[in-house]
Amino acid sequence: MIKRISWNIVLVALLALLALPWWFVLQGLSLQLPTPGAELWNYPGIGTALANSLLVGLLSTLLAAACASLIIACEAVSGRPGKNDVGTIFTAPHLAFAIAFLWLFTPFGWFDRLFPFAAGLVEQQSLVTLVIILVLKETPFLVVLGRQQLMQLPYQQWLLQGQALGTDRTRSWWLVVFPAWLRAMRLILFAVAIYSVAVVDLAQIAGPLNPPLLAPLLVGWQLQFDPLSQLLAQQATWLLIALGGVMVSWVVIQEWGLVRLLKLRIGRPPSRALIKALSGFSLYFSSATRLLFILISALTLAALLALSLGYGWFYPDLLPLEWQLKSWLDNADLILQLSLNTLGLGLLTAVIATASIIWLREWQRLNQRELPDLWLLLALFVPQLSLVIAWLGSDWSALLRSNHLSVLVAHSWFSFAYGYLVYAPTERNTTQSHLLTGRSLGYGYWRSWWHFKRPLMHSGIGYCFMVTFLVSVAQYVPTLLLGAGRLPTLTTELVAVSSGGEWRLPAVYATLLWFIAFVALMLVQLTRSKQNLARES
Amino acid sequence: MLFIALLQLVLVSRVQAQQTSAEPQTVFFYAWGGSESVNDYLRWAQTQLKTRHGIELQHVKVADIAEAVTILLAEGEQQTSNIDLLWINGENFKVLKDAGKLLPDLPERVPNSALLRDDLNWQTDFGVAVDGQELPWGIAQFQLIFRAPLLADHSLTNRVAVEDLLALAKRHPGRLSYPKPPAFHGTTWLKALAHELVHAPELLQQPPHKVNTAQVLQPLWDYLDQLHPYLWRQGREFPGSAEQQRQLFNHGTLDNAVTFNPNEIPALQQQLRLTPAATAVSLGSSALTNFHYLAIPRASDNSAAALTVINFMLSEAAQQRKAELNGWGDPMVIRAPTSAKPSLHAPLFPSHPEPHVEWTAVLEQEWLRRYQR
Repeated sequence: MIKRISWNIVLVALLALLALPWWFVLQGLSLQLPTPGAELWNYPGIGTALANSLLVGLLSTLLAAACASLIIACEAVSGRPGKNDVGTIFTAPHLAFAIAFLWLFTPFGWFDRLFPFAAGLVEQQSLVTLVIILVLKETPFLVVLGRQQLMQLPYQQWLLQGQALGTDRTRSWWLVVFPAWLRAMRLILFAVAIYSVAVVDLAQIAGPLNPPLLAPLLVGWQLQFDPLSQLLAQQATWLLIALGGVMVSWVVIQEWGLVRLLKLRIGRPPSRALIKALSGFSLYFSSATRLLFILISALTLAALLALSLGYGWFYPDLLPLEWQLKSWLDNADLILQLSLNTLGLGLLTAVIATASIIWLREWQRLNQRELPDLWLLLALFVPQLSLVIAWLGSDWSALLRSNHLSVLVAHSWFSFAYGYLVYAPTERNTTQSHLLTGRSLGYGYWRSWWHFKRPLMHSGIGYCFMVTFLVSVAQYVPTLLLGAGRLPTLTTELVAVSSGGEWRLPAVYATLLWFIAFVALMLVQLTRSKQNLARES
Repeated sequence: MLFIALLQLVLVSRVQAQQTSAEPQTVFFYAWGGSESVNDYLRWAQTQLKTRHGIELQHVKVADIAEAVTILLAEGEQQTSNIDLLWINGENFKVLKDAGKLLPDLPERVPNSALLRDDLNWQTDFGVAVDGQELPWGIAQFQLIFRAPLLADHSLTNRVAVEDLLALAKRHPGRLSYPKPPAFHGTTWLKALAHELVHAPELLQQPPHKVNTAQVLQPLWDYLDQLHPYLWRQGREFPGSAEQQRQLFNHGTLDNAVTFNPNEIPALQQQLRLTPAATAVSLGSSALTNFHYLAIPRASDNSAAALTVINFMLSEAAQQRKAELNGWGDPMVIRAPTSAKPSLHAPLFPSHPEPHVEWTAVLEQEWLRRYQR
């Protein structure tokens, strides 16, 4: 009885913590909807901005999902799972990756200087450039998390069963495993799709400019204080939320359409020649794509490092006038302080968010009741700046008097949503039999979980911890506005110094952020490898 | 659990350590963080203030000072402000002044305000009376940056008339552009151009509702209609900000950029941050000139220390250091001491003032209506 009460107390506290920010949002968010006669529709170019935003979202989600599916398929069918090949791009801060990519591949960029007669480089700012960068960034994200989701499926058994029934591995993959994998990836695809339409920093430096996409327009309005801009910002917030809803529907339709298409192939085996050709293409595409990712990530990382060290690097020079460590050395004290703040906040956030997510999943298991994912992931659907500004206008700061506590709560809240979408599918696919066995041996719930279920969830917990950590590390708006500058991090510094016209100092912070994220990924993969070795031995 | 407890302990102790050392002399100074030179200068000011006055100046770097305005506007009437000092001007100042958020009577509270130059019209900020709620920190003058060979080919030196600009654009299609309004420098470009093109520039000093805006601004739109087809991407796209245009300039994509700091070119060139080929010119016969200011939120509980910081920023030592070309290079707003190096006396172009503040919205909205599709 006492145990039951304590479970319920924790549940109420946790749900209150998750719901309270929404209460503050309702306090501070205006209900100015973009109805047909709304002022927003009179804004010049709003139709183009809306259509372009939607196009970027649909295309980048579709292409990134297709690339990731082919890479995962090839690995699974060949039985050679990839390891750290795409990890470097996955861990790159979005802004840093885009800066380096544009500096390398645009007209007048480094490759243009090296091969002045080469054609086919991407434009400095355009719809196509933005889609390319998003696909390059999102595909590794989907591959890394896709591999983790795949590990939770008994796909090797399914492929073997298929082979036993006379169906080759490629066909079995697409007809049996792929639909299950795609279903497990649904929440992650939601996050990618919503991010693609709501992205601000990348859209500002790589997207179209006249008009900009909807999200940068919204941010621009929010930072102007005349009544018209404020009204436009309020209406655009709801429009962007609606766009997020459209993207979620798109992911569902995409999944439904693909699964329907594949079902049509059941019982209608294609010719051997076609299978061979498709397998060959898949293998070729996967290898080429992985090679491309390794190459681009190595080049962008090298470019970023070079940018942080190069002094006087102007068109059409291939190399800078001087190489100096000055930017690193002059800022060493600040870098140390910012790194400590970033790591401390990130780790604390990751611990809080991961523990909350695990606890909430176990409560659902124990009570055999599934809370709707939509409510738990709602934070992903609303533009972050709108949420934070709504909090500023509410009783948020009166309740959380400390700036540090305020930042920590906001980080944990945003990280929770991302962590949940990584952890929940893994947990759902994990058998509960060991946990039940433990309990039948007389262990309490959590002791049983620790000894029997946790080892099975090792990878899921590791990835959840990493994702929540990385989400915290990447936060700018809540850290600055709620923290009121009391808790500067590498990201707040990067965004602030990036607002100038140079890349040398931003490159220093971006390289550091990249390094931190890369180490986090490597640590997670290392613990996973150790666990696999332990299992095998 | 031990790990969590340890982490909490580390964070709490860091926070407590910061708070302890912050009491009572830490001044949280919100200022744009996009310039390495400005950041370096503020780091120098931090050490000076700590040594001379025991004040810990915390530079809170923001990408846009509007972020700080957002924080201030959200703070309740009875609430102590998180911000002690601000670097602002223009629309952001107007918003905070209208909201009654700023500490008044700064000239009376800051002794060094007596050193301010008499020849500068800093008492109005974008047409809005300062009323003692901010004090000038530096001078801003809108200038165009070009690749010098481009101007030399056309025998242009330190002044480019609007006709010259059109001729340059026609001779070098796709190489020139300007920041897209309503970005700050984009709107300033429109104001500077309007001053050159409208038949009676003095009308721009009046509130727009007192004049026929369509008629006044028609020459501006006619000129832009002629210019745009020869700009970067045929004038269908524009750099998102002055900083972005500077990147495109250094990158080689464009042959022009804009600046608001009259000394920025030599300063950045000395620091190897701007191509040696860059040179500054004024648009037309005079350059739009304004000031950037320091202000203190009324609700700051550390206003005494913030006033000391402003007083220091207006001291001869701080102003001279700010004007040095191997640093920020921002011109002095106080009378230069006789001992000051000649290079610190900034050569400014003849100036003209900002239009009345209400023209900003008129220009931005009409530009968007015409050119954003």
